Amino acid sequence: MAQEDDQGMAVLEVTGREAADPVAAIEWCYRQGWTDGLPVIPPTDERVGAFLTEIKRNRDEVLGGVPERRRFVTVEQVAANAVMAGCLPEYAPVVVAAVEAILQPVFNLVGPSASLGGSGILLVVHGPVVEQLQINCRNNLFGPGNRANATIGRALRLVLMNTCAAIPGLFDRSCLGHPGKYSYCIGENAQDSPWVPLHVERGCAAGTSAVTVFACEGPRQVRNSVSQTPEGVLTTIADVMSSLGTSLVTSGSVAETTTGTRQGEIAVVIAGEHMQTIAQHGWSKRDVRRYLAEQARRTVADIKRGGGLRGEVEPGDEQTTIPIVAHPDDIFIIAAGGNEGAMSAVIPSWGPKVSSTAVTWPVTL
Amino acid sequence: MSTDNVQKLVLIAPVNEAQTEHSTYAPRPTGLHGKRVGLLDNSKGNAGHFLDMVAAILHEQYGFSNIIRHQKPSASKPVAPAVIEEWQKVCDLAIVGVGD
Repeated sequence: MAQEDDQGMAVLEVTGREAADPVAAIEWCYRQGWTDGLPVIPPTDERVGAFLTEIKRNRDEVLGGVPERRRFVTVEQVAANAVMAGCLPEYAPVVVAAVEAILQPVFNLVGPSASLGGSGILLVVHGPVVEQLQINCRNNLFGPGNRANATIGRALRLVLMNTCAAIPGLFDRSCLGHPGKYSYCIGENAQDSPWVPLHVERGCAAGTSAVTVFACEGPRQVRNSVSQTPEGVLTTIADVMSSLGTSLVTSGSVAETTTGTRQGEIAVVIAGEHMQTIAQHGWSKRDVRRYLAEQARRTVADIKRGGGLRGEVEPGDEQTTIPIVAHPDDIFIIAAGGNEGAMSAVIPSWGPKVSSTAVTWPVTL
Repeated sequence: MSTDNVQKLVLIAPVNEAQTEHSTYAPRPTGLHGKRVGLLDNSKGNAGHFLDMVAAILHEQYGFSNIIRHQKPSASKPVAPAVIEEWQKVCDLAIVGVGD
């Protein structure tokens, strides 16, 4: 039974076998409905206290909320979920920044955390904190094997489930979901990148740390180990960006229908060899975005045949094209991934920009 | 962890509760004749069609004095506070149309 102690903390006292046996304590957490299906570290007052020390903010401070669900998230709840996820206390400022970011009104958390579309929330970490916390930004970028990525991303998901009511089967109505809904955290590789980091492009000062949150589908790998020019590599990426069946190459659920399809955002993660090929020819990120924005388009006929637009194919539809994004700035270029291998990844947004836009938020250390 | 000296585990709740204390139902209308009604389209594909039919029924059968329509920019976006504020002044009741 929850109660408040003399310091205002919502505490639960567990006695008996669960207090003596660590595995029994984990099973007790399962029974409370606190987990994502994997075991959690029980959020003891001592462990949560260590996180609160790192956060340096009042534990009762409300970071934001999901007003449509009448849910409001405190620093203490974020700390408890970070403990459960397996985070180290020094990860806490990144987790807090990510939670503040997803609770910004333009992110519209109520949408991507509920939709049939099955959004995950990609968390990209930028700046010196990537190296300080050893957040992986290279090989096996989206895969397992690194504590910071695995647990920081997981903490964000636990916060969603435990404090934002994004519970599968309740408010989370995903048709398919994707593995990134367990954990979806990467670092941006500023060290090996020739380009301006994404958070600096989006308004943060150079040398600072930040996070970007993005409601999106899973990553689709793009392989091109032959082309030695930016145009060659980016033609392949543009083709994947314009695949039929993504959230962007479809229509509906928006009032503005001028362009035909919904116009969202898209992340392009460019790994080592592709990054070198593009940069060796002197292309900036802006050049990359402009090229991709121009190339990533489909004909109206294709989109109709693929079910992204209603109606029969009509004269002119084979010649009329629709761009995947409305503006080059809707493409986020992220330098990350292994230095060996000619791979990149394309990650379409969950929905149109009018439903949710990515948020970049500073990390306060 | 020793079983002898650990008797109690003190945990911090990682969960919250919905804060519903400020949520109340609006008074129910006592009749429909002459009322002003707002029809809110959520932008799903068939919401507009559904509300067209609702509007026709309301007009023919219940004698509403005025019907106001609004379409949200996106199905997943909450209705704008300015619209709610305006409808409080110009509508006696509202109907939300959801269609997919």
